Amino acid sequence: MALDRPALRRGIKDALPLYVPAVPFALVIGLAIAESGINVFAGWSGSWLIFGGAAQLTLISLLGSGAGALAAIVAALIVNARHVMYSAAMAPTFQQQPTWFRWLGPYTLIDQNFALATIEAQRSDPLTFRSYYLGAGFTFWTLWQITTALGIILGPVVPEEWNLEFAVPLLFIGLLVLGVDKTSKTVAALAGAGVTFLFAGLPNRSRLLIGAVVGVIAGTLAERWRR
Amino acid sequence: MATMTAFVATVIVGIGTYVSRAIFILALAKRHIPDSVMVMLQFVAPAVLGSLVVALLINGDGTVVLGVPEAVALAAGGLVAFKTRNHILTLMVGMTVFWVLRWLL
Repeated sequence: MALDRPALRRGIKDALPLYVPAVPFALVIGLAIAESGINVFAGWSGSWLIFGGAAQLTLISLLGSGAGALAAIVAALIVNARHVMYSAAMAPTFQQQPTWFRWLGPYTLIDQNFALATIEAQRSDPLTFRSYYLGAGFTFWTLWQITTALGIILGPVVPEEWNLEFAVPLLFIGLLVLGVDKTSKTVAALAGAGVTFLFAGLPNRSRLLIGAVVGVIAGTLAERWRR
Repeated sequence: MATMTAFVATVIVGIGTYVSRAIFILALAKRHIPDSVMVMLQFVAPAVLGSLVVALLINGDGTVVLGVPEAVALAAGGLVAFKTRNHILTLMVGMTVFWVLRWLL
C-alpha cells in the first residue's frame, strides 16, 4: 500500500478549499439531526455510513417528519443515484488500480472528489492518482465527520441571512469551468442545466438525473456532429 | 422515530450509496469498455455539474430562485474560475459580488 507522498499532500491541499462550501451543508444537516427528534448518534452515523450530504439530509428530514422509514430510504437512494454515473465515469481509471483500492475508493466518491479525480485522472499515473485520490477523499471524510457533529451543536447559531449555501452553486460553476475543455462539453453542461431548469417542478432530484442524461446525450451528439 | 429504526434505515441507505458508487468500478474493472461508451462517459461530469448548479437554485416547491445577485455572482465566479483556475478566489469573488449586490438592490 505504498503511496506517493507529494501526491497525497497535493490531494489534501486541493480538498481543503473545496470543503469550504460544504461547511454550511454540514451545519444544516447537524441542525436537522438536532431538530428531528432522532437519537443524535443514530442521526450522525449517516456521516460515516452514507457519507453523502444530499441523501443524509433527505433521510433525516423525512424520518423526522414521520414519513415512514421505507419512503425515507427510497427518497434518499434516488438522491444519491447520480453516483452510478460517477462510478461509470471513473471505471476506466480504476481499471488500472489494485483490488484494495477498487473496493476502498468508491466509499469516498462524493461530488467534490469526483470533480478533482476527473481532472487528476487526465494527468497522472496509477500510483500518483490513487495517492492524490485518497489524500483528497479522506480529507473530505474527516472534515465531514467533524463538521456534521459540530452542526448538531452549533447549527442553530449560524445567522441565516449570510446565505452561505449560495457558495454551493458557485463552487459547482467553478468545477464546471475547470472541467470543460471543448465545445461538446459546453453543450453537455448547457443541455443538462437547461433541462433541469425545465423540469424544476419534478419531485426530489429526479430533475437532476433527467438533466444529466439529456446532457450526456447532447454532448455525445455534438461530438459526433463535429467529426 | 425509534432509534433502532433510524439506524437501520441509515445502514440501508449507506449500503445503497456504496453500491451506486462502486457498481461500475467493481463490475467493469476487468472488462473492456466499448469506445462509444468511453465517448459518452466524458460528458457525465459536465452534464451532472450543469444540472447540479440549476438544481441547487430550485426551491422545495419547484420554483427557480435566481435573482440578479445570484445570476451576476455566478457569472463573476465562472469568469474568475476561467481566468485564474483558483477555487478559493472563485468563491471569494462570487460571494462578495453576491453579498454586495444583495445589499445594494
